[in-house]
Amino acid sequence: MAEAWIPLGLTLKVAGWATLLNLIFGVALGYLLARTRFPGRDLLDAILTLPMVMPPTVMGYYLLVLVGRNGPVGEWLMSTFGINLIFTWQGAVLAATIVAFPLTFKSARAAFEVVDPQYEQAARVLRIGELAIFFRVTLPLAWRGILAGLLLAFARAAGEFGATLMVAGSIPGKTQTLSIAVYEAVQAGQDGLANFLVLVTSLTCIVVLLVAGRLVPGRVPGQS
Amino acid sequence: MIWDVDLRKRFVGRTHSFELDVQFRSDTHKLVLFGPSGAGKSLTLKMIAGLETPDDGHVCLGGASLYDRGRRVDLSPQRRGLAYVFQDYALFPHLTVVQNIAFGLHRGLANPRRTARHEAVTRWIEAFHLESVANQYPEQLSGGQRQRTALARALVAEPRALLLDEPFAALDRSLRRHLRQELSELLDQLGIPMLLITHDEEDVVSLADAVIRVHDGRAGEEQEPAALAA
Repeated sequence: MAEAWIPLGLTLKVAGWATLLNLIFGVALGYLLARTRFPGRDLLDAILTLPMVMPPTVMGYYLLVLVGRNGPVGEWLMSTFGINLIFTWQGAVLAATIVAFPLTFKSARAAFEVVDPQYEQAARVLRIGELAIFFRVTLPLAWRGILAGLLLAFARAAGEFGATLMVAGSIPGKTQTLSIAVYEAVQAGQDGLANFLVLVTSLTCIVVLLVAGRLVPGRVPGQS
Repeated sequence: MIWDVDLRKRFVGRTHSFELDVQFRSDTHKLVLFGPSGAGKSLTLKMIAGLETPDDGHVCLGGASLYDRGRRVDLSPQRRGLAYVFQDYALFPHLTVVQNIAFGLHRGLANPRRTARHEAVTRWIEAFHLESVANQYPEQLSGGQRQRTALARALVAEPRALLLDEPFAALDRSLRRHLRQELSELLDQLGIPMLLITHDEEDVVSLADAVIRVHDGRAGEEQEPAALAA
């Protein structure tokens, strides 16, 4: 079953990068929408939530149009940095990041919204700057909710199929993640391999859900 | 002149609007703003601290301008050098008593360590008899211990004045009497000006050198605390 470990490693790599990107952008945008008011806020929230309700293949198609060789972003990436994302594992990261994004973003926004602004005010009077307040007060108080969202995003990214297939294809050892390998194994009639891959995927997801369940928001670090 | 305050702010809501127009000048060390809830006391205190922005007016403390719309002065809450005790104390729930008190002394993007010891923090912990709970979290404290932790956190940075928003409202009656006494003695020792807002007459009688009534967004004349009973 050696051929099963390559897709597993690739899946963990892709999902790991997607989770890291989700951490940065999901937390930043979740904070922005929770704490500031500006015109178009509801529209932005809707757009950022879109990947949760749209079929992944549609998201994948959008990405192809945008970052493909003739797409506006793809052309710019190619001419400026010489980067091509289509049929690469980085392309798979992009697809997984976007499909999993609403899970982090929504959790982060909700977690920031339940942090009482009075704690931030108290820190302000104690002469602490705004950036330090974010890292010392707001983020620690919202952290559990964010972490739960990140774990769900990791699971979602690891199981991504539709958008990844559209953007990155199914190149064994390069872009063929677990969920795509399962599909290919079934198509090829390799039942043993398919069973094994399904088992590995299921166990990974159960572990992630168990960890996420222990991190339900509302509990604050330091509470016993 | 300790306080020279002149603040105006209007809220226009769908169902009703509120207009705050508070002026007072006072040289009283322990000054209390007294009035029913919804009179605008909390808002006044927040504007003095810089946590809310007035529409117009000025705030001077000991001759120094903290806010003056006409002269375009508007110091951030960080630069006003005031201490603020919130009604429910707003102790950071993820930090221990020691970390809460050391919070303002500690610069940078990380919180003080649980094991960090500042001389000033230790002094306040001893003064308020918080040694036994120094490493506990706010939710494990009694009401009195919470209030003392909040006071220590506010005072450790040596503020220019102490602002208190209904500091005894969250405590039971017997404790209130004791802690009023304690706060009064402490302020006499420290000599920093106090501005306290309350709707409880007993706060006025046992703590205030002078009282200003606030009603419906307006402040009255400064009075002797005894005048309240009359």
